[in-house]
Amino acid sequence: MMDAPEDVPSFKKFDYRVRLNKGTERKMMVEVFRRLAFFELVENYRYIGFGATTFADFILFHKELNITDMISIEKYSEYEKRCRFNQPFDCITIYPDDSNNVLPKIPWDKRVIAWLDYDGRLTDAVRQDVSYSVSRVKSGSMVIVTVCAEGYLSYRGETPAHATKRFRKRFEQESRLNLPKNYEGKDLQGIDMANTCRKLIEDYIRISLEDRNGISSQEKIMLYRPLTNFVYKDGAQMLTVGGLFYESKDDMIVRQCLFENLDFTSPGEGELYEIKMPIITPRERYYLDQKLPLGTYYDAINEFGLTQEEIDNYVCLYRFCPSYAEVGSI
Amino acid sequence: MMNKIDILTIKAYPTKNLFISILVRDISIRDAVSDLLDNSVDGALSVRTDGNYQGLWVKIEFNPENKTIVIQDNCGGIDSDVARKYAFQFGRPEGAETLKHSVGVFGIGMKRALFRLGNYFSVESIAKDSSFQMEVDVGKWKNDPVWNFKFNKVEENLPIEYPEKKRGTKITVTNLHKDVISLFEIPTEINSLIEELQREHLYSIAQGLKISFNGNRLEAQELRLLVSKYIKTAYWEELEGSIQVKIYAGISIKEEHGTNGGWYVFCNKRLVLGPDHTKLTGWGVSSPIRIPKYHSQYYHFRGYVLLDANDPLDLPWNTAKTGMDIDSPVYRFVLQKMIVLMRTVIDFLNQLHDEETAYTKEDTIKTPLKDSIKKAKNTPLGVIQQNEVYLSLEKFVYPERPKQAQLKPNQVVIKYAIPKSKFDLVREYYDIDDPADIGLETFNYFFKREIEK
Repeated sequence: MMDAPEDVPSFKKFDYRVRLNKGTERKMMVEVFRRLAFFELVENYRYIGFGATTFADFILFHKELNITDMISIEKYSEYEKRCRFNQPFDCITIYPDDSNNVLPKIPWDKRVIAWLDYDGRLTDAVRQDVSYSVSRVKSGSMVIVTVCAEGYLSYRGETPAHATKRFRKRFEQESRLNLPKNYEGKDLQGIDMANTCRKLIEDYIRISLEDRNGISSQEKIMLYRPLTNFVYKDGAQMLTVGGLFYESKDDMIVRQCLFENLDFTSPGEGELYEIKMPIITPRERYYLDQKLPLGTYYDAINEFGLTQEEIDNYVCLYRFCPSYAEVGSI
Repeated sequence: MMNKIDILTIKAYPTKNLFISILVRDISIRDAVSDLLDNSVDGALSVRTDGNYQGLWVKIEFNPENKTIVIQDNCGGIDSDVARKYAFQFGRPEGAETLKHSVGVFGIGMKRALFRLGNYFSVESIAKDSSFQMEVDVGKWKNDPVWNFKFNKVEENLPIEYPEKKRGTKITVTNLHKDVISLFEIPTEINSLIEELQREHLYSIAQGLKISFNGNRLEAQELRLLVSKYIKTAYWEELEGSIQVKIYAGISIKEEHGTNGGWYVFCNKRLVLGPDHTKLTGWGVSSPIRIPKYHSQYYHFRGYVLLDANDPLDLPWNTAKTGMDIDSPVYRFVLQKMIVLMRTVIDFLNQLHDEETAYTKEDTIKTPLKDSIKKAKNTPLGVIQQNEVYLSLEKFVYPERPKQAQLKPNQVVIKYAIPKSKFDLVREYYDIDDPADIGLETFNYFFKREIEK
């Protein structure tokens, strides 16, 4: 009998291709990445990701953006063979090792889009990857982090003080991170857990930038522009935090990118954009699509019983909605 | 009748006594001697801007019987005008020009050192077209309300320049304080002073400056790194504003206790930190990436940081020049880069360790990493800096180690030797070349027939 590994990679648990909100998020990313072209042709960028066995992000970014310099970090080196077998294109280099070890080994000689898409929660290892990437990227690069940010559950009758103590302890033990004193139990529950994790990640980014900018002259000061701060659930609550790193001399370029035209890039100071693609049938979808982007689509409420929330969510994201169908082969 | 001003004015001048006691409080005797030496080294720098100090010397003589210390050099002397305007003023006047890349920063070093050591000092100096002599009886000076020093003799704007050989400075401190005499009467203390001076002025000594203490010539280990076609030093450099940063990380000879391993941080050529094995230089930190604590596995490590600034005040050192201001933006920035560079060397040293372990356990007979170290040459940093082939931007370069099949915890390795003639017969039978595969086949053959039910 084979020993089951202690923690099983999530590609063994889920089929990434059919996770609706995750799929939507990936397509939204494409839209953001396209705009980097004001810095340099996006096809000249390097993509760094965790491709696992499905390489869904690699396939999309290669096909949509023609990125041909791609690095996939595979933490579970025992699955190296499977990953290599599933490698969809020849332009992907697989590094079978922990991202903590791989990031210092790879070159950082050009602009990158690094999507550190973890299965697990925010931990000290994640913090290191973020800090390290931020310390190395060139102006015009993007660093994005996705972590599980499922909130903790309190039991019935648990006092807030007790929950604070219990949750803080659990968070610090699981993550091996120091949780600043101002975070209470409620900050580690529900959507607030995602907000807390976001603030922590932004702290790590800020600290790394402060170190990095130590002697930089005014025009070389590296700045961070948050762009992809999403929260969504295909199961557990996931948080994506990320954005653009650019030197202040490139401010004009950033303005040209007009990221603000993508609503979801700026949900408001300190807020997260919730990706909540409604589960609707193809027939319902075609109906709505015919009326978009400008028509009146709210008659669908009476016509066939969609709720206003479902319609609103669909309208915001319809361009990014993945299509799933059963097919005989890829 | 009383003047109105007098009623309103409170005199807040510090007494000289207070001033001196505050000035010398935090400075050790060793730091004081070191400060006086800095003065000479700055002189050397101003006469030899190319950094070649051949022919220049500094002599430090301590005489317990006469209770004197004499520091004499042939490093260009102090211009009388500089002495009048800057050198003997407390604190650096705002807008004062500094000697570029000097170690004298705060405008207090020399005076503070003189006060720290004794009660009477004299400075004689011969510069290009001026000379002066000055004597100060500290006891008398303290009681004089006027904040002046006076030249005993001065000549300037001389039509004929002094020959280079004659230029220099001689500082004599007499009537040494008791603690100074008793410290210098202990040979081990003198030894540690010499060691400290050697360490701090490593760079200048290596560049040819002859420094002696009571006739003992100070020596410095040269800054070296092992390099070859296959082993290249990780480097990084940047000129930002007034500060030039150069960082080199690599390996050198592994010594028994690893004392010389670690990081060396120089500010304007003076060693301010190192060899350091602590968090100050990244050992055991976790940001931006985890670095293990210093231990025997890393004794090979050498890192050199050269920080240079026209204005020494821009550099992140403390006033005693014995440590870094670790919270300064400059040092935070440098440290982040140091960690990025050292991480790639640590990776190599970890692999080297794995290779050694595998070799000791006889899992492998090949040691490409160890061999690459043997073949590398321990080369002076100066040579490496001039040869791009030995340098690699931000990343330490080393040979690839062939991948070993990784053992899972529930697996066992079997090894045995058999006569080649027998092996060849089995190889023919299986038509496989790799002995490991043949071993596996034969094991499975047995297992299927005798064990499996």
